[in-house]
Amino acid sequence: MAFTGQSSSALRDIAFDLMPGGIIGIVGESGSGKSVMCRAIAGLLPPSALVQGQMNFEGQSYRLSDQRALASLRGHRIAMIFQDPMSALDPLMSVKRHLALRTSGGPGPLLTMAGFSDPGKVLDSYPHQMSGGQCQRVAIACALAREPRLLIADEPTTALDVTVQAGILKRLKAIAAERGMAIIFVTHDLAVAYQLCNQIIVMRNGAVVEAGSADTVLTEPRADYTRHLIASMPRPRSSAPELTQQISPSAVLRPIATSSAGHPALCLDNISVAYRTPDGRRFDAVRNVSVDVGEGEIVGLVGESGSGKSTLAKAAVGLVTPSAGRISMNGRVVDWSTPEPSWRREIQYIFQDPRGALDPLGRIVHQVRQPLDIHRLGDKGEREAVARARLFETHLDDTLFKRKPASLSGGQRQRATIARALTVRPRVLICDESVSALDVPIQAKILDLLLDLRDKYALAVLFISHDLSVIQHICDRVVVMRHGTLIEEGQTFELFRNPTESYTRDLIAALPRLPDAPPSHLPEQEAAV
Amino acid sequence: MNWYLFRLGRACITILLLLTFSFFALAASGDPAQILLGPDTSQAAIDVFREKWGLNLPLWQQFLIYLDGLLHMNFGLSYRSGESALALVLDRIPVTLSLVLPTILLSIALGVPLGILSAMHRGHLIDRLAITLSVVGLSVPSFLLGVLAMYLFSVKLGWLAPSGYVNWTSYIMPVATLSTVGIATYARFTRSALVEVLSRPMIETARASGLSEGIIHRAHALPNALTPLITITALEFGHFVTYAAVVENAFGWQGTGALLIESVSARDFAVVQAIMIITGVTMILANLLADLSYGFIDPRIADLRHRSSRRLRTACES
Repeated sequence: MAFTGQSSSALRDIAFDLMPGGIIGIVGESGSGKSVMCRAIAGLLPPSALVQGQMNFEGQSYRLSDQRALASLRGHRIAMIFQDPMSALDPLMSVKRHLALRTSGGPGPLLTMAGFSDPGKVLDSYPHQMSGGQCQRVAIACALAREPRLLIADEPTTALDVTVQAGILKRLKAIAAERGMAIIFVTHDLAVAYQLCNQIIVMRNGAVVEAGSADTVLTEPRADYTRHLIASMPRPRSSAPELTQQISPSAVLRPIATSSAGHPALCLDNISVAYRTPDGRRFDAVRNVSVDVGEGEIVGLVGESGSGKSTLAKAAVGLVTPSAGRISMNGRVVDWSTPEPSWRREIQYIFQDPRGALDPLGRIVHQVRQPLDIHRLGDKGEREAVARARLFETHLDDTLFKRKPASLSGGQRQRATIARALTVRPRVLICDESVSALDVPIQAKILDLLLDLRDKYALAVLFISHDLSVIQHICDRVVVMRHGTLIEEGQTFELFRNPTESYTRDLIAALPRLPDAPPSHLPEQEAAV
Repeated sequence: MNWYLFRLGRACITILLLLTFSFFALAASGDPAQILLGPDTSQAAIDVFREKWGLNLPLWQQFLIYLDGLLHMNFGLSYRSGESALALVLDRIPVTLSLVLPTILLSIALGVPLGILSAMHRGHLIDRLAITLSVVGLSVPSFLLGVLAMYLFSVKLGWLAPSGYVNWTSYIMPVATLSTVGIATYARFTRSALVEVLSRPMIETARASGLSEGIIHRAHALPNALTPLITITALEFGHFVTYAAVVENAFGWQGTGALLIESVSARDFAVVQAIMIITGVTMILANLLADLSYGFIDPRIADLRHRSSRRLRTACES
């Protein structure tokens, strides 16, 4: 098929061709127009959208403004799947009925194709009984039910764990080959695109920046923006320079060992956390986990969703009460059931969603000042000065200080929450998926900022992420959790090179990788598998 | 099983709270001896009256006697007529039900389709018209509507009997008056629920996999949007009983509502209490029934009831 499109202001002059069985990756930051373009092809834009353009599909020409014609293509010709698998299915409907609505044929082969080894098991399940990965597989089966010739996948694996993502990517590739079905795969993750796609289109601000075969685009990028994107991908620290700027050799050669020398700032000793489930049973979210974070050290906490990593971190700051174990900070035992205000100053927490963490009505500088107000530190002028100083430190422009969170970008907002956490000069910082919701280049800048701050203040950082490449980039040591227990721990470099547990090996193997970067821009990547 | 017991226990506690509250609220509202016998009665007569009704006992003893009576289905005697309060109320209930049940049916039968129509044509003329109508329906007080209807159809046109039960046509005005609020409520609720469901990602997913709009609406949108109607109906039941009091009075129907108003103004404690308790218990039971019926409709709630290991996994994943 061929596609050329244009819509009011989100997109400009886009054109590409796609062969049966081919997989084209569309890469770009949020707001680059990739989703808008896909919805335009599938005729799923709201009626208010002005779409212009032509699509040649299996020899026939369609106007993209003709919603009715596009609607008639959906199902048998074009199908689409989306990012959030948990909300993609009807909560009142079993898997069997989902498929029965779409095809009169048996659901078995479809589910097998979508990657269920035993389809009979899930037939009578309801969406809430399945994991995110299973839901996405069912959504894929639904999309394939009418045997479309083109599947549009809009970030279908972004919300999933790496191992699950790897399985789904493999399935999609196999389906494309078996059925000769073309796939348009939208992602913000270059490594995913590289792993799956034959061709890649890089988009920015609604326009194509670069297009070509996956190999060419990623190994010999022509556009500056593509190079910038590739350079922003997190890489193993032992070999990678700081992400955002080409920096002095001293920083590249920063020895990783120095940081772990400090004495422990946060000790979690044999922590267990138990919950009571809605039906009255006890559920151990965390079982006997011990983690130390030294001064000036960044410790990564890795695990799939449900592994208990956030629960452990919340226990460390007293947001959940551990059922057993001891927490100590800077050598003092801390019991959050009888908290002292000074403890709260020493440990700060940064959440995943900065929008939710900031008061939508408060001005940035006032919100950053707030911890000082709460702890009654200094007079009003001093507090303001400290808040401004912290905001400068996080490289936030002073024109933004008086703004409200809504007029800031996601990255700027996360800088503000980091600045706020730093106002009280904490010794320990907990980052709970703090960069996961950000675009790669912004994520890179925040990671650099965290590294800088760590060096400057000898911060102890507990860095939680499901993204191994980020962990690999930023952390000195890594702790791997699964089902509430600690299964492996070690120096980042060692652990990634030589994981002892098979689960860790699977995690690392599932990690999508970029091709070795062109030497002119980045030093050769450490072979880490 | 656990789940049923929990709901049932909660309903029992609510009923107990209701009983306690209705006793003390009425006890706090004034001395029935003074009100019933009038200001000129001699102290001796008042004392005799108090003796007779147990009003001279300490409040906690009165409360225990009251609870004990309730256990034996004894709601006390009407101060005015000396009859059993329960018998007085039970006598009136059929009249109220004969107004409320058709009202609920009519409200659902007209309100839900109106809401659906409105949501399907969101932002268009039909939608705006329906919204305007439902705002009018919700904001015009039912007594005013009743009086207006009576004036128009009975006084001016002479089509319908103005008050009391004559034949089936007597139902038309009171039920229509009561239903305006119900239709408006159901229409608004259905519309907003449907609009919300239609904006969910699952609808776009269904569309993207090629389902036609008709199937999407029938199989996905409506079941999801209409399930909460069960709760609304349980809640509305209480509202209708309340509104019925006003409408019964306006149209001269001898239902519980009319009895309530008479008894309140006469300080006939036992009768007011009996009405409060019966209405309250009915509402609590209606809500319990609604809660229980979700178990059959929504698989997520069904799983809460039947302990399931799958549920456990979902809980820790989310």
